[in-house]
Amino acid sequence: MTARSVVLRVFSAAVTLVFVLVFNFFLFRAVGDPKNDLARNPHLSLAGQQAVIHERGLDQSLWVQFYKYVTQTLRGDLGTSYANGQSVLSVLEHALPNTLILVGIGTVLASMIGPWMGMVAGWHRGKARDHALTQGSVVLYSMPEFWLGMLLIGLFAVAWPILPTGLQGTPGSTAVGWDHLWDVAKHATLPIVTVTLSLLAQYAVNMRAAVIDVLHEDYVLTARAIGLSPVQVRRRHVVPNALLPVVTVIGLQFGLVLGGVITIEAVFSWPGLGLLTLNAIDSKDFPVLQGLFLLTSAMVIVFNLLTDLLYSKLDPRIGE
Amino acid sequence: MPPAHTGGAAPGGTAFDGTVPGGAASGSREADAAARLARGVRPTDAHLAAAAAITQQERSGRLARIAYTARRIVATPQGALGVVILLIFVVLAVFGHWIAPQDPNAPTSFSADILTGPSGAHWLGTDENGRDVMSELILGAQTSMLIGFVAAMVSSVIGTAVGIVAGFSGGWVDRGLTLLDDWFLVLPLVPVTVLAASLLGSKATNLPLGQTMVLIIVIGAFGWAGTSRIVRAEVMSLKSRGFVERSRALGASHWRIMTRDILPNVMPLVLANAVIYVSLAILTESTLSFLGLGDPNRFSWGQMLEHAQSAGAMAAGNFAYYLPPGICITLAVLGFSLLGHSIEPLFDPRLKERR
Amino acid sequence: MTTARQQAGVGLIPDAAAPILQISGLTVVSRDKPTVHIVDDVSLTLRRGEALGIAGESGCGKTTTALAIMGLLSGGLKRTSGELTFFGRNGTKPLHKLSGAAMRKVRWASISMVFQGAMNALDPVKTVGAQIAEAIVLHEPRLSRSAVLKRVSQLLDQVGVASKRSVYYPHEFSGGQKQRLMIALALACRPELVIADEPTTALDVITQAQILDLIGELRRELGLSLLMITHDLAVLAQACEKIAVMYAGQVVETGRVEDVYRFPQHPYTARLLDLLGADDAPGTLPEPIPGNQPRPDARPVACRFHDRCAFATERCATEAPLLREVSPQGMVTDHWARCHYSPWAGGRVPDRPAGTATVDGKQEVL
Repeated sequence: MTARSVVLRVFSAAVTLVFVLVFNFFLFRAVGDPKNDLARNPHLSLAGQQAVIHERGLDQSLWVQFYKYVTQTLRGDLGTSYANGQSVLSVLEHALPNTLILVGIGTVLASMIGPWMGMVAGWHRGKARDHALTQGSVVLYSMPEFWLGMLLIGLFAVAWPILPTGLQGTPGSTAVGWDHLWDVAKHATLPIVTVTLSLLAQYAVNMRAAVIDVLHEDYVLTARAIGLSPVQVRRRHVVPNALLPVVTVIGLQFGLVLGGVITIEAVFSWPGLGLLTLNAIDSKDFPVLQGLFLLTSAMVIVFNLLTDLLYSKLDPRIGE
Repeated sequence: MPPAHTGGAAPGGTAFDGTVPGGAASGSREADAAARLARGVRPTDAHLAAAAAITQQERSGRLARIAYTARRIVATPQGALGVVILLIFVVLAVFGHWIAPQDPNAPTSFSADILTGPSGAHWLGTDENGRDVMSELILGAQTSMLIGFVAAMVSSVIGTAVGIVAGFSGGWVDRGLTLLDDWFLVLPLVPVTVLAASLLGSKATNLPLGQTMVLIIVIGAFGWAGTSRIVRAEVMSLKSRGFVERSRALGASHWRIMTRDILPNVMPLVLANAVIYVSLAILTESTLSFLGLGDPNRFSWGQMLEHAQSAGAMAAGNFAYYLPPGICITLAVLGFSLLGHSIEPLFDPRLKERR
Repeated sequence: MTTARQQAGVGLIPDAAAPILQISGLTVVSRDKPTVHIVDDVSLTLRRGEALGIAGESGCGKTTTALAIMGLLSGGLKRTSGELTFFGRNGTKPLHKLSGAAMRKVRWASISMVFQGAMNALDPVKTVGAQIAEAIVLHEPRLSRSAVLKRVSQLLDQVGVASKRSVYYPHEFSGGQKQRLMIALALACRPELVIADEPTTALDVITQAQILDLIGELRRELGLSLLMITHDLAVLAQACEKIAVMYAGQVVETGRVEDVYRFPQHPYTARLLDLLGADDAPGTLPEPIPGNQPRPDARPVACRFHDRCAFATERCATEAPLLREVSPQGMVTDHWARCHYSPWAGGRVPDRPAGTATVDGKQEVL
């Protein structure tokens, strides 16, 4: 990939980001004027409402509000939460790592297991192993991930109680250092397994299709012909080629998953971005919601960009 | 597949692979238009009526093709399974009120026997209000099918319209719509629909079907990007084969070309895609309902799971309450995606060799 | 023709040379339907230093024959009988008895292959140098790294690709260059026998000629034996001393190229040669052979060509002909054909049947 095309990709990602920034503002104004929600609050006197509206700058014209939103955002100021008066940035900073733990570890695990399953299925296509793995993946893919989480809780926290559930650690626990880490790890296990399972089916199905495509390629016959053993053929030629499209899927998914773990976080009361989104929606906390959307959209865009760049490194045919 | 079968399959053209526009009639239409242009004659209403008559002929051939397609679908185990699952849920959706042992909305349904396990009276036990879980499960099929089908229809219509306009117009319109399309494709679906559903929720009372309509609108409005991308690509390929020019030579308006010439040709692709989208819509509906955004006046599997979760059914080991709704969602999603994926290769020749 | 053939290395080998590969009674069936013979009782001998061309329409079993020799039949196919004996420098090996691991040692070290459609025969995500080196390291693991790299650049030189391009990826080469790279790969472990499957098919005429010249040159230099598979009789004539024509899984005619081309003894060969002549004289396009080759699962018990043959008689439709040695000119020239009516009167299959009289005439021959 030439420097020029890298610059082009980065530039187009930046343009999309600007688009997101603008869209983000108007999306929230389009679905309803925040003033109306305040007006319905029975606990506030009319004067109190006016004071709040003025404090939040909602009495200014749309364009003034837009200007302030853009300039503030560019300065890294995402506003103040309506709910608790904290800066949105600090609220996000608090929740993001928790979600990254779930999604990061879940994605890493899923991208090791899923493609491996797909590789085994594709390599043994048409055989019993293939049918079992493929049908299993398809069923897993059809399950709503929150129900999957509930199933795991029912199995491993209730029926055979080996793991704790709920929150990110034992409430009121005063453990520090390794004990604290161990406590958190135990609480994180089931949510991470849920994320892993909800992702790996798709990776497996994609990898299987890619492996089957690659197995039809002439270069696999060449690899067998030069005297490589089946294991060598698979490791040196089939897997590197079949992984290419799967890498794209994993990369594109990663950004989306950040926003998609809402239900999993809800099931496990995991204090990440998802739970934050639900709470913000409940309390009509628009600045936090705007911040959340900006963050998740930016993540999607950044990971798309990274995937593009990584892909062009892996596949010499791209980016000429 | 015996060759004789294929021969009788596609009366009036080879539209089976979704690639040959206009079937058998297109050749003569082209010749017609060329001759007319050569004579410098503008097409009259009579000509357009003749074209309409040809369309009519094609339509009767289309019925035969649909029957043939249906046979091909059930010929694969996946397709047959998908059809069976779909039929079961459609029957439950339509006749649910008569099948369900109890009307969970009736005041008499509430009882003090809450969260009981399976028994003779209540096969799947009772919920936190002492109502029959089995009945709620059966009525849930209606919500899933209703929202699944209608939302899929909404997004197919939007996606088809956007795709045709983008592909047909080209230029800036195309670029703009494609950008919009890209944007919708990377939109994190769950948070966006959650937000939209909750914001629209305050207006639900003004809508027919209430919150159910909100869910339909939201799920439909955010799911069209995939369809429009596929349709746009198909329109571009139709255009490149020059049959738009042919209609233009006949003097057809843009609207006429888009609706009469392009639309029927992208329709099979749209349908296959719509079936797959039903499964996604059902999944999204259950997610939104699970997050408390469902219609409080209806029963839905996602909502049941939310109730089960908040009533502590899992901690109580009350598996008859929280297993069946999840199984139903999984089966419905599975059924529609199996069906969709077995329709797809019938229309998309590029997919035929796969799998 | 003669100069072109000499340049291609044809005619250098005395007839009496020892065999390097003997195929006898090779039969390959479909695994799902074992009664379907893709390759049916094929016997051929290739002598050391000789080039044998196998010709025929696609689906006649010629590529399957090659893959069976290499032990590379795909999962759906199975060799049920036949012996494949390789008389190598390091002793005689019954290829049909070798285990998978033993066969892997023979492959590329002794017998290598240039694949059909070289466009995709190289791994797109590995440099061409790495792929050639992979084969060398696999079979000569004790070779030093620098020796391997040196061999790679020698090989590239040999096939006319600049050796500095070994760090390029396959997509950075043209079709003809890829075919050269494929040949370099085939020569990587200094094999004695090279099987070339349609080595020039996807190439334009000029590149085709260059590749054929290259193959001839390499044969002369390295004393290679060559088994070439092609549907193109012109290419075959340029590159080979011997020809075997296959039809519907069987060898229908085999012999020296001069003999078979001048005195075809099977109507199928004769028709293929008619079609070949047509290329040189545009405008006089002869009609193609009517009908289609029978599918492997629907082959007649009789002569497999009878329903497309202009000379077919009742006997052809009922009795399967054997592959018999024929001496059309009264000379013994190792010329074999699978036709009831060979040797044909007049030395070769006549151009057209002159009505019923000829058919009667044929019967008189018997």
